Amino acid sequence: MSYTAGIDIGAAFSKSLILNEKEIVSYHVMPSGKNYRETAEEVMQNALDKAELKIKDIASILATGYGASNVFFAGQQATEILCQARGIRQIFPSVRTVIDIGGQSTKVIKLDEDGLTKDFVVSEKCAAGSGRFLQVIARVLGMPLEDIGPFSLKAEKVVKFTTKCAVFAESEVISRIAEGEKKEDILAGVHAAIATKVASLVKKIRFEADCAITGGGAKDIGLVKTAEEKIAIKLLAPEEPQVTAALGAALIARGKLKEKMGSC
Amino acid sequence: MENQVRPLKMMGKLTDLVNKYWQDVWKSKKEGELVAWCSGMSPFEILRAMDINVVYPEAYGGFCGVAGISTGLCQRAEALGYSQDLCSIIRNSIGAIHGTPAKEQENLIYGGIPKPDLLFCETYCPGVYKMWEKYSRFYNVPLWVMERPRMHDAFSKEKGAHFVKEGIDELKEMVLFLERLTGRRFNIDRLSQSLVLEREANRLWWDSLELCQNIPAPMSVFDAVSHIFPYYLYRGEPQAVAYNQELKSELLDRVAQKISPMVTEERYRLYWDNLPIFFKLEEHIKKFASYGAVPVVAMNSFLYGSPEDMDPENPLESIVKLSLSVPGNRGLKGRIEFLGKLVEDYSLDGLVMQRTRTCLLNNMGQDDIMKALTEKTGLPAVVIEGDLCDSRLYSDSEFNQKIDAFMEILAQRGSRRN
Repeated sequence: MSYTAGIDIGAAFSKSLILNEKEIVSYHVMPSGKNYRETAEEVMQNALDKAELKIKDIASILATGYGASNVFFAGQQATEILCQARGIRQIFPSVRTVIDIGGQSTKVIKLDEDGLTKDFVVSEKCAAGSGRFLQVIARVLGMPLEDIGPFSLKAEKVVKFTTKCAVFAESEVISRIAEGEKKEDILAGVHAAIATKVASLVKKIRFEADCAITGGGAKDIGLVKTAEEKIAIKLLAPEEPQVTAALGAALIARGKLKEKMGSC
Repeated sequence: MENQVRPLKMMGKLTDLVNKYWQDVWKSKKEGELVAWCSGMSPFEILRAMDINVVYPEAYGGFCGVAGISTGLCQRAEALGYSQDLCSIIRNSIGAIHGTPAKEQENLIYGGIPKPDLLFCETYCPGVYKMWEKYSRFYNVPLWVMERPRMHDAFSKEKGAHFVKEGIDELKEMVLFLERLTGRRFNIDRLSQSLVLEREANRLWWDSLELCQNIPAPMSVFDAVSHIFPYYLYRGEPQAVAYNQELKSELLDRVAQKISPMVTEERYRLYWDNLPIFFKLEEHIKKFASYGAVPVVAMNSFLYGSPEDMDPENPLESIVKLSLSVPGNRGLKGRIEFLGKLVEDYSLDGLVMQRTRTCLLNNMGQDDIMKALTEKTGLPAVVIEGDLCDSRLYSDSEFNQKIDAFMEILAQRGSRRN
């Protein structure tokens, strides 16, 4: 059995995924922490342990993401844009637009009918449209990140934010708490702020259906719902939206391996 | 074969000429001669014809950016209360002039900027115009402001006639103002003679830009931004003609030998929008070269209008026409047409749009231009967030991420020439 692996070292989370010739064998997601090199080894080892494999069993490893250069044991690298596109088309072959809400930035990728990248846009050098914004707000509200999505669905109104900056939003959230606003209404406001930025990127690229959402932000049901309203389209979300780029990386590694074997 | 950066041999002469320019300006200032500060497109020809030295504080921002000191100078301006949202080229000058203690100014590149005796600018850039008003109050020196209306499509004889007439009247007033100020008589024949030289230097510059239509291009946008300086600093003088003649010769040699300034094999030819990010020039050359990609043309390289609009027999009219007809003075429609022609003439594969965070003037309409060009030509485009002089508004990881992904798109499509 031949195995390939993809490793995506993101700004907030790192992911690894192992493929055999037919399907996903294992994957692992963990916070990226401060030492990307150590995290790369750890996230790979965890996926190997889950699959009961050793590193020598993996024929080819491809790294992607913000910290890809730290994956010293990967033989090759590719961009998140390429890996994300490849991964999502494996899960949803009809997808023509991908919204990836990551810890560092939000990317919108437009694909052609063959799944090749046609165009992409990345949010500005600012945390406001990214998952980092959600992390900051979750910390201020004293809630686990995974709880804020379901909790926001209880909102009866949407608290308006006057700033687009994540740093200023932190103090604005504190002000709203002091004014007696409910947490769920504040969260609905945060989701509306992020979704508005995402929607402007999606419209800018002149998106085409079907449209999928990936990254840590796609795990926040409140954000996905708000984004669907703002963009006026149903978004396809993979079961595990954080590992699509790692899946794409493993698939590209598999393709390159086949090319190499074929040319031998 | 590994890509290698091959700077033009003219680089040495360029350094010498720029150094000499600043030495001469400082010498003149110390000897009591008049020094005028000019914005980039001010009617400097008239000043030169009246023996007034010209200094361009905007160009000084470029020098400081390349030297890696501009961000520090911007911070000095901010310490005086200027907002980080203000143009970084302007902040760079403020930091050098007001933010640096007098005793330390001579340690700045080229010894800093000599203080002005008079100021000239156009209304083209509102930021510069407002700063020149401030400098006028600060130094208590006269300011002359030239109107430069935007041409919605492009300049033409019919549409521009009214503006040319107004522009000539303004220049005549400016001459009277200078005669009163200096006590010297304006000599129009001298102006005509300098325009003969300026037109020749300009023609040679346009020839050099045209040579970049060759494959491989003998000069990149990153080279052009440096080698335009002799023309900029010595307009209307023989030094600019001599320099541009030698530059053109070197480029012709490169064309004959098929030598690229950046790569062994030129795979992708790119358009670069806006000026390069001065403080990252070397790194960006290496980054593009690693993909066999060369930014071969930028609208900014055509900064000084066409030699066809220059007629030394009608010097005042020429100065006005040059100012009105530059591609950057066109509205969206005119710029899109100009760039659409560049796409064909230069066999381009993609567009890199540098978004200068603190330049509202150049950012306005950039998205519209990009959208129109990608629709018209089918070429892919990428927006790079950057700045000219403030490195805090730029991120290496973001730049690399975008360029890597853009190069993947180009690789998927292949070069248009294959």
